[in-house]
Amino acid sequence: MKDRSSRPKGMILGALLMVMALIAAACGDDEPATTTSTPDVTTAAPATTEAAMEEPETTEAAPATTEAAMEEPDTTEATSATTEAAMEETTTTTLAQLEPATIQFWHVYSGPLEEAMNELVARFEARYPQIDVEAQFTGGYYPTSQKIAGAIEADDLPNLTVAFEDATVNWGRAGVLLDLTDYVNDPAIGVDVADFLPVEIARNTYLSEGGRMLSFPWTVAIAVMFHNLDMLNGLGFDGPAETWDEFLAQCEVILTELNKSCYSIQVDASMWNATGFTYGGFPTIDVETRATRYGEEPWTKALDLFATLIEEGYGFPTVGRADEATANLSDFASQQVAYIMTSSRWVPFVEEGVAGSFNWSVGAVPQEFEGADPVTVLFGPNAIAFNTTEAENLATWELIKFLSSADSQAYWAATSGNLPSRLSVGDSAEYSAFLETSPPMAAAWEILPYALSELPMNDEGNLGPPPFSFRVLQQDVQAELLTGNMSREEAQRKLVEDGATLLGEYYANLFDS
Amino acid sequence: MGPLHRGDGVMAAGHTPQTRALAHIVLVALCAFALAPLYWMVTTSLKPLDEALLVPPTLIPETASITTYIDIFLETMMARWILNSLFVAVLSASGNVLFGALAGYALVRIRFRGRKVILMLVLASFMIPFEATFIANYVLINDLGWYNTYTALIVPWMAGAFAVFMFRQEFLGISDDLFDSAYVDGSSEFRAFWSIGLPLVRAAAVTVFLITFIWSWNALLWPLFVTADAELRVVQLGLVSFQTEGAVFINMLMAAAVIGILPVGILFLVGQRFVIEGVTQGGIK
Amino acid sequence: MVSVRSLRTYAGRWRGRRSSRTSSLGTAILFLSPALLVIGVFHLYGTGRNIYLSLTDWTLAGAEFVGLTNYINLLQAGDFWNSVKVTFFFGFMVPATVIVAIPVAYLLHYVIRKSYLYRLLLFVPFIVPTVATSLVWGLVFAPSPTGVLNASLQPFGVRRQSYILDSTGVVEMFAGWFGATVPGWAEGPSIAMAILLLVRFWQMLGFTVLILYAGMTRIDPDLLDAARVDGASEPKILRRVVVPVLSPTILFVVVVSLVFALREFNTIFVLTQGGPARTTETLSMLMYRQFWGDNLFAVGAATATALFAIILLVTWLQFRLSRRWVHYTAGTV
Repeated sequence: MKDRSSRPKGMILGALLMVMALIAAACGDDEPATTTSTPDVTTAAPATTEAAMEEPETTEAAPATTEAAMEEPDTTEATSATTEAAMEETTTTTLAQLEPATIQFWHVYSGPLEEAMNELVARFEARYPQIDVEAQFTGGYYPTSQKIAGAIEADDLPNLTVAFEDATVNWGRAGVLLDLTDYVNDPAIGVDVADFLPVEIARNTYLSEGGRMLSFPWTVAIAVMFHNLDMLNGLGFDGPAETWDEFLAQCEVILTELNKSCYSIQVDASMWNATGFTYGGFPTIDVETRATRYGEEPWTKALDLFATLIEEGYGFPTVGRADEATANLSDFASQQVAYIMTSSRWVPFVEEGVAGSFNWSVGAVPQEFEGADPVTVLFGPNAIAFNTTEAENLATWELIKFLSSADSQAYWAATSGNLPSRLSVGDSAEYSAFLETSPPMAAAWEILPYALSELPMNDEGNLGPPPFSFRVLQQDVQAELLTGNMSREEAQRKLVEDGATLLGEYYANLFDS
Repeated sequence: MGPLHRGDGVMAAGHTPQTRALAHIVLVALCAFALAPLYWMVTTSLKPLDEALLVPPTLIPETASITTYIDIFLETMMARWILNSLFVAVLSASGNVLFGALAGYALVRIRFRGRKVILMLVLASFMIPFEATFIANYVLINDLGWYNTYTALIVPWMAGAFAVFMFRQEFLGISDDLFDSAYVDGSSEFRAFWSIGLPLVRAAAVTVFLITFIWSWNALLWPLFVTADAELRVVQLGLVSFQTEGAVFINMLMAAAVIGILPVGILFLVGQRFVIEGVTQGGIK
Repeated sequence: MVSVRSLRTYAGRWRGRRSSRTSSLGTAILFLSPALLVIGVFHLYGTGRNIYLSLTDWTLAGAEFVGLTNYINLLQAGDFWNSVKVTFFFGFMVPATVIVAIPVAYLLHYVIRKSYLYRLLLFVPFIVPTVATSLVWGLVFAPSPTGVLNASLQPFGVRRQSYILDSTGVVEMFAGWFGATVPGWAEGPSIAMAILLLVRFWQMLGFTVLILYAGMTRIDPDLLDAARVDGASEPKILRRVVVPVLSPTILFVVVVSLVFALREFNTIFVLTQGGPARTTETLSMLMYRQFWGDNLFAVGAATATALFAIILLVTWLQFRLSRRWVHYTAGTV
């Protein structure tokens, strides 16, 4: 049996010091560090996370490359230090010293997305010929995380993957992740986090793991409202509804004039959250008390909205699955409904599927009041590195940096339909040109700065994703409400009670162990 | 069931036309139920994307073309993946037939202690969902050094409870005296198995081959877990490439599914038409 | 008239014969070892390891023995008992399929001359990849007004139904038509579950027919002819001659189909993912949620082991009961 948890602390510290020394050697010396003393994968792994969390003083030694980092172990301070540093030059000199390494990158992109990813990887390899990246499609998020579980048990880890926060926390607890905090903040090889959406930095900073960055932003998507402009204009409306009241009024006209429901409602936790957030339902879980806020006013309003939509015949539920969400897209493409709320990622697909047969665009989710910020949810996988050898770790970090760079994001966003996670991408000629070809995507880009994460979080970081079963609870209740099998009161009671049971136990375990 | 013939000693194939007509009606109705979704798959695969997305779907494609099929072969390595799948599925299905028949034969025709225990162990081996055992199997494949090889795709599925159990039941349904001749001339047990036992369960062998072939052919997760290279991918992974984050090219997906079904259909026809019909007509006395 | 007793003798006439079977242990090992090696290493080992891990606090960080803790937690959770109930609901599809498949196989084998095309067509659903299955049936039972069923029934004045999203019990639904209500325990499987059963029937009918058909090819035609000469009707021949001789194959198909049904994952995962309101969350779906949703590996392993135990018990029971109705021509086992 593997047993990583009971290793003596001294050994961990020792290993940690060795890792630090090696990193320092690799970064600072002309002579590449010897590969003979490559630290044991499993030993080094918990060392970085655990020890860094428990022993603040070790943090000082961590980047060990500059004085600045030693003096300012604090995350935010180090950030500004990085910004000040002439980053580009330092980075280049460091990279020239990167040891040859082979990086295993397991990702979820197949078909045209796989080609786009291969292109990015080829660009990276052209820039760093000594690094060989083996990018591999390993199935969707579930198969990939299953394969990674196998790889962890087999002690044969890849270097990089893309996954969501729950997987990150789980792997972090197994002690196999590369803690990116010190890499991010290192003045020599770090990045300017100020350029990223603040929510993205918080989403990748885990309060339950000592506020460490166990993952790094990649690209994102947001929930938006697709609307059929021809249908709305035909009924005398100038454009999509900005408030829910206006939305209901439009729905009434659509029902009486066209005998159609106006809204195909996807049973999906993210779309559910987006609706609640427009009433001020963010965050769904209170960061301080770690209890659900489903009993509160905003959620009462959101639940009432769903009940009204169904009772009046304005909407109907559709089955939603992230990878198979064609049901409501079909309703939209067939002009059966005026509105669907779904991920901005589907914009290029709808552009192809509607093929110019009617005018449509995307807009913000209707809000409670006129003039309110166009609040919505943001989601998407993050880049996660596994702790292997020091040479590979450095190369992996370079790859993460490369993938999340403005240039790469511009290319990826334009080919995949995802949105960038850093705002400077908007300045790139490539991305601006792309937005001009796709007005719906340009509309999504305008909404992006107002998007909130689905994770409970504050400025410091996120509380840790709620358990998957909590998501299941949200979707079950949503389906019951939308099929008329549960009243608004029953739905709310179930959310509060079952939510308390699920979350209490979960967060107690997460923070106390 | 049709109106039934009473009392005049009809032969198996000698039913009245009315009986047979009724049987045909029942079967056509059942086949229509089975095939309705296939009709939708084929017509969808012939539509352009915008028409494929229409609900309710158009019954007859307004603009039908086979560009989806051409695109699949041009844009993906589908031809290579089909060959991979054929190679893997033929070997694992053959293994199931041979090893399953040997084991099933031994469990019936050879007397030894612990037959029941072995049968129960064999059956126990397929009673747990794949999702629960795959980590252990992944580690095993890794330790054996089979990761990213055809071996990993084939060997673990070369025998299974289904085949062993099916052959055991079929051998149990065969009279002992059919084997007597084999022992008169003192043949070895393997000869008895090969020249008498196996031909007698030909129909079961074809069935086991078909079904285990389909399982291998339709496998998606295992190939994803144990391979890395695009050159080692199998036909089901071809389907996945049309169903990515943010896009379900339903027409391409259905075309790929139809391409995937065709070889199995042909195999079925060959097996059923020439092997099983042969058994029926020749009888087995 | 033909007496039941005399017909039974057709099926039983081989029984009680002297056996020519050998008893060489060496040969047995030789014959069994290839299959047992593969099964043992790649199938049994994983099962055994899962059972062991269900007794630990297994996470990706390691595993320490904790005894029955996971099981105690599991048995106290409502989710588990709900899933046990749902798993058995899903198992109902097996007898239904076999009861339809036996006469169909009979028609194909004894009434129709060249039936391979029918067999192929019936078998096609078994070949269709699950992703296509889910898309097409999802379209038929879509809760939207444009779902195939909703759109087809709308001209007849039927209101939009939520079908695959509907957690209403089937019994509850029927009672509702007559204005009656039923207590919670009697509401029966949900509408969504009924749809899953239909889809599963669609998938498995051809498979079941194929195996029964293959079993029929080894039945001596003389048996049927003799019965016909005696003036037996077709249903009687089917019941009294074909079914007894075919019984080892029927046992096989029932045992195997039940194992498949009780541990089924894909069909449910792609169509309902356990919803609505957990009314289609079988034990294998629950296990998946624990394993890959909540990352509770040890609990998932315990659920998997519980499912394993249930399937083992059901299979053992079938073998016990089979002594009453299965006739082995090769002698007693």
